[in-house]
Amino acid sequence: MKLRRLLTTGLLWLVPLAFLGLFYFRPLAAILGLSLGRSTEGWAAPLLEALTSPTTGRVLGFTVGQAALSTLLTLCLGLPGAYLLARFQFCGKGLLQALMGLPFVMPTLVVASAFNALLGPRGWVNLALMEIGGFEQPPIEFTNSLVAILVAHVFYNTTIILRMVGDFWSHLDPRLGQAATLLGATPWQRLRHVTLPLLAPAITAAALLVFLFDFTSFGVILILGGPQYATLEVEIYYQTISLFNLPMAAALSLLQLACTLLLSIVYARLSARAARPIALRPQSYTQRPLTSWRSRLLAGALVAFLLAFFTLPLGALALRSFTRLEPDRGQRETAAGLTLDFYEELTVNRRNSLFYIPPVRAVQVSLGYAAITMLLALALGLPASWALARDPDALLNRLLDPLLMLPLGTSAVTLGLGLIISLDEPPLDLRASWMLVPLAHTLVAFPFVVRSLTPALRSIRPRLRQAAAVLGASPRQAFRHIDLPLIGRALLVAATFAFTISLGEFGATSLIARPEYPTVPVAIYQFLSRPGGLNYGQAMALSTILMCITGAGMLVIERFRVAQVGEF
Amino acid sequence: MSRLEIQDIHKSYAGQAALAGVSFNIEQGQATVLLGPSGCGKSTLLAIIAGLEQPDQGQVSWDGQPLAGIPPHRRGFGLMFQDYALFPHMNVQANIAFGLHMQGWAKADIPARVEAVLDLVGLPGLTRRDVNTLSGGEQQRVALARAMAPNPRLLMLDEPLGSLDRSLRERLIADLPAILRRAGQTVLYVTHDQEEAFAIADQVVLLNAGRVEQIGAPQEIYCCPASPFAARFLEMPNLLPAEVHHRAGRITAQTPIGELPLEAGQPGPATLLIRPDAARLDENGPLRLNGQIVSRSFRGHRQRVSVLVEGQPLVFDFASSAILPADGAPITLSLDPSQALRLF
Amino acid sequence: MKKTLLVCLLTLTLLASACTPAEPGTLIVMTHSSFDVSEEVVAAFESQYNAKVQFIASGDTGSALNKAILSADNPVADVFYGVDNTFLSRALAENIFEAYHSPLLEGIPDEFRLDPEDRALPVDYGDVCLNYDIAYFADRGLQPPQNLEDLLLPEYRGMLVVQDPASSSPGLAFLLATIARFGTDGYLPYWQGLVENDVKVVSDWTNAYYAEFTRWGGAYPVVVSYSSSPAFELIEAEEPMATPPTAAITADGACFRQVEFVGILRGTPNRRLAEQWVDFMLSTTFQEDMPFQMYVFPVNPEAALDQAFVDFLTNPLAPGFLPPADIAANRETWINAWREAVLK
Repeated sequence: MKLRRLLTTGLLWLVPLAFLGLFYFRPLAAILGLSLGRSTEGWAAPLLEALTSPTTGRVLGFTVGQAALSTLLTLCLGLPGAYLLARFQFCGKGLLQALMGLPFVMPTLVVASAFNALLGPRGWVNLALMEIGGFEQPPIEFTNSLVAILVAHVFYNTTIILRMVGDFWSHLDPRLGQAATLLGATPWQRLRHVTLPLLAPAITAAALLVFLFDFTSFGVILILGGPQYATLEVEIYYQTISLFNLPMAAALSLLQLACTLLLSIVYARLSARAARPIALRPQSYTQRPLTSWRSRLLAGALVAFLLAFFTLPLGALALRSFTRLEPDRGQRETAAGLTLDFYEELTVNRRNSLFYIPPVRAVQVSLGYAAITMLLALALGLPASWALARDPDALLNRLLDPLLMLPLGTSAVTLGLGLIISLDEPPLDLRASWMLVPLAHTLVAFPFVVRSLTPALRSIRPRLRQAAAVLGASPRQAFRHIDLPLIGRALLVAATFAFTISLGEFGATSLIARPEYPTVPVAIYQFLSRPGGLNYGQAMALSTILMCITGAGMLVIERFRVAQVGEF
Repeated sequence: MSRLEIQDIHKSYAGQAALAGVSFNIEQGQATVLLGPSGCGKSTLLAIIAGLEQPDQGQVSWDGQPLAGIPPHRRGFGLMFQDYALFPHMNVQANIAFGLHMQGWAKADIPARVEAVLDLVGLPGLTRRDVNTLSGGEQQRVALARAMAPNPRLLMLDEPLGSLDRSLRERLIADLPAILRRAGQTVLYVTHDQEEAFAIADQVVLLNAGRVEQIGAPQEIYCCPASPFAARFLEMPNLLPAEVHHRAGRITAQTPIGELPLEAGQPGPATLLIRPDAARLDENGPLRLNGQIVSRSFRGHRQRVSVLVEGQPLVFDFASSAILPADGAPITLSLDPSQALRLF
Repeated sequence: MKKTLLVCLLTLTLLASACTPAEPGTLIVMTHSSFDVSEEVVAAFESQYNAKVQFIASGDTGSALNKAILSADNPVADVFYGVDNTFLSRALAENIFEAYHSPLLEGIPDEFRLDPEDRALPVDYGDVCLNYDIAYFADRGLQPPQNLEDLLLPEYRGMLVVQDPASSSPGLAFLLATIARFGTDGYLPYWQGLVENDVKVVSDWTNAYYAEFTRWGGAYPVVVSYSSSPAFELIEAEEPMATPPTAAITADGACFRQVEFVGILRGTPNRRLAEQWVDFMLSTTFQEDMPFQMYVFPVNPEAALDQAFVDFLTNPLAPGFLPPADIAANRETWINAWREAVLK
């Protein structure tokens, strides 16, 4: 029987591991081996040099420090938001949730533009302050500061907390908290001793993902932080591309991977201890309308803040895509006339470029990649999370669990080059294939899927599976009829993440995308790398389109869920 | 050959023995009740029979065929869980129909069967309800209906009436034997309540700390508890240390309340049970006990009286209508030694 | 579930292999993501040589070159285009190109032919120059800076934004311009002066141009960009305008010239077709198409420039130049010294 279980676990792992082995571990090993092999003083020398260099220490310290701080701030904003979304019914909730998911897919350059339009030297805020306060110089210096890095990270990743924690929270039986209150717990004690421990698996999973995203941050650091800040990821890029010091880049990549692995091991330990089966309740049961004035006021303030934080920059960007600036150039950036020119321009191949594609086609390409990524990531993530959830103590699972997070901690440059040198023989000569894009996206989405699904699967009471079994359901049928519907919400979260990760991914995509099939972010970057108002306007227009299709995509997935799995 | 044979089942968790050599048989159409205090291993045994747990040792057979290696979903047994385990994402109809779907019933036959079992458990017309909105009693009956719906060859019920209110429980205790026997259902029923056990069982298996204490028909168990544990569990707490003597053709037991005559018994140390239901208010009986009433508790159709006899607290049951002296007053009781005394 | 997965994976593999073109007559050109070309130009080549051209774009110049170097043992493409003089030595040292003495090299000025062995053949050039916002200076009645030295003057304090040479190609070019101008001993003191005059450093061109440059809402009226940028401000303007809103500072040594090269990748099975493509890139058809597509200028003097360029383009008087081998040898030292001096 033990053997049987082990066999089943092994079987479940087969496909995910084959995929990871082929498209992650082999490329990674190939590039690291090749790079370290280029060292003239043996492969250990660059490792030693990297580990003993004071620069590495400084960079690692900054990387960890900013990631920890960013994660903490993200939790500070995300947890109250998650509570609000989980426990209360109010109109516009779905829209709020979708809005807060939008930053996740926005290319860094676009987000930088958005913040610039709001907080830059000529941004609305500074202009208003100069107007009111009579300042000579813009009073707020936002770009190129640690604050900008932190704000951008919170802006990007709050949706992870909202989705992963909020959805779990929304199924938590409110009677548990009520019981604590009746036993004399103050609201704070209730939170501290009942709610937070029950939420712990979801919170740690979400915080881990946020931390890893911040830890490997690249675009935000370079563009919003500026050249004086460097994370390991930035340093790897610098060593690889600028200096072609591949041995050093490989050593730093290994360091980054080691940190990721360490973090994942700690996480796996914590989560195995924290996860316990909980009777989940449908949202119709756990949520109530906002009744008292006090709760309405608090909720209103929170919603207003979230709306302002998430929609003002994006709104500024969308507004910019409809605004002509030329007539009132120079002194003030005021809305000088609304126009659809930039959208029309998108549909014209003015330069007769071979690589021109109409916006509709670019959107189709992006959506196509996103759909393939979503299906692949779910198809791989579901068996892996099932294996993890059904037998958390199995040695195989304990070994594999931390490895699953590694793709998130891998430098895009390293992995991109690894894919190129390892997938170079038929039948897997994918170097010139469009397939590389969804494959690379799947590697990033896969850990998200596993981290969304595993806590949900673990929280299903084993009793329900047993009940299904004695009613004649085989393990497969039990999975189909019990587990799958009960994790419907988590499945939705996973699907949304996979979908949006693919829509927004730029780093790896730019290295491997075929010019005839650019994704929307790649096309946006193309516009932003050329001078001229028309190019800038088109970049803003395409960004606005990206926001719209992302929002629409999220709503479609939501619909699909309701139709497929009902209440849960 | 019996239908279900339980042979020498052992099971321990983390070195703690939950079951230590349990054996008994169940015949076709028979209702067997596993009776015992909580923590005695009843639920574990059910899980092993259902195939949800594997025994460390011993085997379970059906019609002589060992069941080891057959997964739960192929055993054709039904189990109603103590905590119901209703599927929270399905309504009543879907919960009950689940087993029917799994066992390949024709779609057209399912609604009628669901209606039928709902009628059987007294919840007609509840099919559309969300299970999260049901009361405890309703959930329990839906769980029962779900377990019964696919006509399992063995229906196992784990404390099925555990948390019902008394009148509902009384009614179901009265109805259940009829419901269960209507189709000649073979039943294994777990409870800690002797009244429930006696009302439902053809055969009672008394379980204590992972061992079988006694097996028998309810009457047998009640009249002749086989051990001090059995006696105590059946609410017969008058157990006295005794020394049995054979003297001049008479058998007597020397106890803290004096020497009592016995009909049989091996000489030597033993434990003597004085059945609480065997005392009469009679000052002229063959064996009389003089004592003092300490307290009494009223239990509906009977009253239980604590009497101090020779410094020993004993309890005796009388009809509620019996007129007894006031607390603190002396009382003389008479016992029929052949009925009242039992030696272990 | 598992079956579905297997089918998925199989389909993917099949699709993947189907997508890898291997039929004869296909030429694969590897390049950076700024590469662009007109449809009819490529069509002309394809019909003339009965071939199909496929492009692989791999991020910025450095990334694309790294890809080419790392896949040198089993080249993914036949031709690589886009290595510039700052990266040229890396490409030559890694020996990724086969020499090709194209007949068209005859007409190309020697200043562009930086590889004497003709492994890398020049295709185009661009000049990295300082751009300034004409309206900003006009509004303030201030004379715009004329050369690099002017930027040290107090009246231009806090007006210059540049890119980090470690992460930006124009940033590196501008650093090289200052080294060419002030020498390896003089460039650091010059930068020290810029720092004291509050130079702003950002990571990339887009951020510098669209976020920090006054024309696009920033606070710095002088930015490191290209000599062609003013022309494109006009060509790609939101609304038609008569003269460009920006201008380039083209004084002696104020700019740095980037030359881009094409090479035939070592081991190509399509040597003949690759040679034809290289010739094509040097021919006027392709050379005249480049400016509008990539904002760069033809090395072939016979290629005619569009009137918009002729009207609004000021060529640098004497752009800075450093031998590629020097750049390769000192890149790390120079960048690190610069970072030490400017970012600390």
